[in-house]
Amino acid sequence: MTRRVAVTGLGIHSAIGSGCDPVAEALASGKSGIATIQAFDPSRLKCPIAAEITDFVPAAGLTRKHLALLDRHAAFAASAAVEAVDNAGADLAGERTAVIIGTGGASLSTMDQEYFRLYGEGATRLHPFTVPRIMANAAASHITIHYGITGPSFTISSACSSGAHAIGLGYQMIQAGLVDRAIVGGAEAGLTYGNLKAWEGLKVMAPHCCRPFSADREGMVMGEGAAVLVLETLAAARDRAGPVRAEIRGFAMTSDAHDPVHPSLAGAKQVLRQCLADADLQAGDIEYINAHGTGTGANDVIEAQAIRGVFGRHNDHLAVSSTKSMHGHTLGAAGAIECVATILALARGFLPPTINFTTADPECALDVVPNQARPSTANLALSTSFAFGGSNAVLALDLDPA
Amino acid sequence: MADIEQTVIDIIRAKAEDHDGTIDRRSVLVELGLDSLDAIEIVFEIETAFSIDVPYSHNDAGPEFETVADVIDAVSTAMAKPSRAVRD
Repeated sequence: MTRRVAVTGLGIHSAIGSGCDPVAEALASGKSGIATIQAFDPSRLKCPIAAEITDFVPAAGLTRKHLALLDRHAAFAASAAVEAVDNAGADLAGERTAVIIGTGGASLSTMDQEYFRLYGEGATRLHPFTVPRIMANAAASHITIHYGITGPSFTISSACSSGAHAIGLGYQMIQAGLVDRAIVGGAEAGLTYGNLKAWEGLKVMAPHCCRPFSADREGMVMGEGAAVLVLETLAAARDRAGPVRAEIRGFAMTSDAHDPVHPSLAGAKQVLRQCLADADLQAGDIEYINAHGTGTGANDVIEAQAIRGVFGRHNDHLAVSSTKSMHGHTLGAAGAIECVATILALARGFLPPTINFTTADPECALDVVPNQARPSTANLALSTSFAFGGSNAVLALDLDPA
Repeated sequence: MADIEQTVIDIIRAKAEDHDGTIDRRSVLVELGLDSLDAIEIVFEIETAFSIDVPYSHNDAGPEFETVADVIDAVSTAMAKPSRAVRD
């Protein structure tokens, strides 16, 4: 019999809040985390806005010595892991736990800062922990050391699907019996002048506002943050009377084999169908989708067409929102932050809104839960991630597993 | 020399967060709760503060910094080298 996988712990840092309760309240009230960038002078950016964490307070137990070795993205992940492990209440030490963290750019903050000192300011030496901060597996490695976990640990980097891939792989490893528990999630901290200039070059960034699926949308807004989940077998979680927050009901990943930056309708449809099949669900079972919904012209049209194609007549009963309108596009963290946002919202009985929505776009004919959260009894949901490079990942969640 | 001593002690004190008492030339680094990673950071901050290279490597046996005085003496020696202005 297949081993079922439960989510028992959740932790999150984002521009709309740090910690499960503040984030849930922000999602319910449609709070925007997007504002003018504070980390540096953004006056030379055409798109000077971001969903920035301006008040990061690391979780208790993370000391100065821990943080000295961590890039900003890894510090977000380490701190979110403390919250997730605390609220899972599980013993995670030993070789039967895996740690898998997704990140797109890993240590962009450290690289930008340290290399600017070298190239821009003429410094002759870099901070001695630059290498441990830059190594892409820093977040996963730190979590293993912090909790005495001796099972497999690694970082997944698949651009904007990284976080979803990390969760999905943890689910598959537990399902297959390779491990019994996993700490999984995603983290990103790329709000640097260099990285934002690079993104501006792609002409996909919004200068003023993020309004996914709205006819007047103007692009994506970059965010930062991390979300971490504790996964274990549903049987073990129930045996120990642990907090079963959701079941990972299914997961699928595909590649478009099409274009590095332009989404593929066929690829998006395929991954949605495969996830439903893996979850042993029909299209009509799904009540809510937390969309990739970046707010770019291309993504939102293709994603809406894919959803309409796969869900057909069931679209009339399907709500689809993009919480990126609130917490920004957190790239490698997005799949994890949006999975956690979905669990937090559905557990509290509401669908999170797509804020800043003004005008319906006939090419995105979906119920996008515009501007205001909506009371809901939905339990079955999908969270979609469609990454640059054509790497797609979809998670199926059940808030009330039988 | 007093300035060197005080700056070195200030840098060490910032890392010795578990140590409540005074820190002076005779203080033993391990007794201040400092480990090898702290030592690397302390050397970096001293090098930056004085624009010098401190001859310290993880890969060889010496110089061993046992006491605060050992660190202060290494800084004083490096400061006396005429080439330091060229290097930094």
